[in-house]
Amino acid sequence: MRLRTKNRNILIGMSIVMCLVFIAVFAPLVAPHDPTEADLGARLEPPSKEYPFGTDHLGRCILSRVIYGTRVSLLVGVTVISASLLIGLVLGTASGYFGGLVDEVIMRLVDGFLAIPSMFLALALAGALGPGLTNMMIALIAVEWTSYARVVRGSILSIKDQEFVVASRGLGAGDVYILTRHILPNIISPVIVIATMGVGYAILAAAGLSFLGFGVQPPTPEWGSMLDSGRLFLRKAPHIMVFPGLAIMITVLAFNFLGDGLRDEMDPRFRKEIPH
Amino acid sequence: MLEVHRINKRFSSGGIFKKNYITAVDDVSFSINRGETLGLVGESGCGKTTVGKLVLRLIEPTSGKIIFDGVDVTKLRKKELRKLRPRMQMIFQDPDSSLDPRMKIGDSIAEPFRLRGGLSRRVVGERVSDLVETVGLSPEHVNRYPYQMSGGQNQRVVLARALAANPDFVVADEPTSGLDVSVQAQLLNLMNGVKSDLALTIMFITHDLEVVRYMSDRVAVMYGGKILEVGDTEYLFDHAEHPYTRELLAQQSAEDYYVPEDDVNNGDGGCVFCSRCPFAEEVCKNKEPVMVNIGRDHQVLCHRV
Repeated sequence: MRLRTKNRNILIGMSIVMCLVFIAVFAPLVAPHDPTEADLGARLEPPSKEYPFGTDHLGRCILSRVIYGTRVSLLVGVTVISASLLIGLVLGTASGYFGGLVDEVIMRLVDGFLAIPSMFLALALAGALGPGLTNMMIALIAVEWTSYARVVRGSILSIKDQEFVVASRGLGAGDVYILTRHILPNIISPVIVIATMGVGYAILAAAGLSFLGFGVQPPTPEWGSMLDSGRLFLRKAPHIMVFPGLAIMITVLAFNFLGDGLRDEMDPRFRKEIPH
Repeated sequence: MLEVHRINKRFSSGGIFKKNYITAVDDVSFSINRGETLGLVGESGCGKTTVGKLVLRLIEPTSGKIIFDGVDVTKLRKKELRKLRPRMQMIFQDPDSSLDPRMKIGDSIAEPFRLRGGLSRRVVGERVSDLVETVGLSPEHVNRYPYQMSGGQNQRVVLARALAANPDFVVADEPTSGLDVSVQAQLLNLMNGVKSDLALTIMFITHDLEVVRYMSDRVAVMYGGKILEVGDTEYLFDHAEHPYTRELLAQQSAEDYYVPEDDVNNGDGGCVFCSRCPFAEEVCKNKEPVMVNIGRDHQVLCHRV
């Protein structure tokens, strides 16, 4: 993709995401303290020089915990969306391209998943599987893949009977060739856009599950569970909740900016390419 | 070259419980000799495009036989069919949707070579530039995208891609109907030139009688999924026998002649044209007419002849 862009959303979103990736990768170097080390002499301290974001009820450095939390959040966001995307692409393609009974079965399955509110389904699954990072990701993938399958199927349906696809078949092209050379390149941009926004959503949902105790378990630093532990001290030490909250907000916002920007960037070209 | 024997196509719509059928092509038979151009004329919705796609088996016929160069195309397996495909090409009505919007012009033209395989990148490049020249485009167009080209240019690209497959038989489905008149004429001249250079056999589908007269050796007139009259072009234009053909010729174009679906008599028995025919008699409503040979390769589907 072209790197030079004037789109402000992409620039803002991209720079924040880059920063977050940098912070996550170099967390041990960036963080001033060990995120799990408790300084019992400095509990619930407000932001200071020593602890820029303050400390929590065990005297742990909030800044360091927020920094290390970036790792978990990005990992969850990217893993959940990649896996959902993969499942969605495979099932959506099977459904949209080949149609018939396969389509019917897959779409009824999707309907089944969509009939249950997504947060409720994630909660139920996470509860049934038991707490933990992997189980939380499985629960999130289970609620996320349906939208990708639908989008992929819909895009393929709108494109597979277009004349350039028929023409390619008329030249003797097989299904694999048509799918990889013609169909995939033409449907991938809307999928990339929703996947980018999906990362933000997955991070938010993961924080929600962790907040409720279904996700990452303490003492691993995670934004959602940090919010939960700060809940009891909201009056006395609001900084415990404010900073992880801000981190979630900025991250989700960054991915939304990026997704919005990508959509705008891809739209005009798309319109130009398929006129009328 | 091509022999079509009583093909039918019914499209079904509706869900699992209730199915509706539309007969798009009804018992159509015709043949095209090697090196000949057959014009297929008819108004929108008469099934002419469907016939074109059926002949190339881009859609499956409900019944009937299609013999291409001695091979029954309807009986081929998927793999054998894929091998045969390059020999029969189709040019579609809308050049803009016939090309992959995300593929460069050069890549589109090179597609048949890539599918055939076994050619080096350099040879493919040479062949593509030869073809680009053949269809009257300039070399710099190769690196453009379809949206950067005009409709006429894109239709030339589509023609070049079809020629790259080295076909014997081409179905051209209204290749010029979306273009300006002057561009139309250029493209038709180009097609005629290419046709005689490469000894192509062409089925030319159109609603434009002028175009058909210019392009084809023989003409088949379609209405309501049936061929009503077939004959030598020049002869037919002067000696049309079927009331529908005469009406068309009087109108000069089938385009401004569209009738709603309900006017076509698709029920059991009777002539498809009887509800619109000024000469319809009792027999036309009750008995289906059969194709009659009235000499000089001229056949008519009408009770009155």
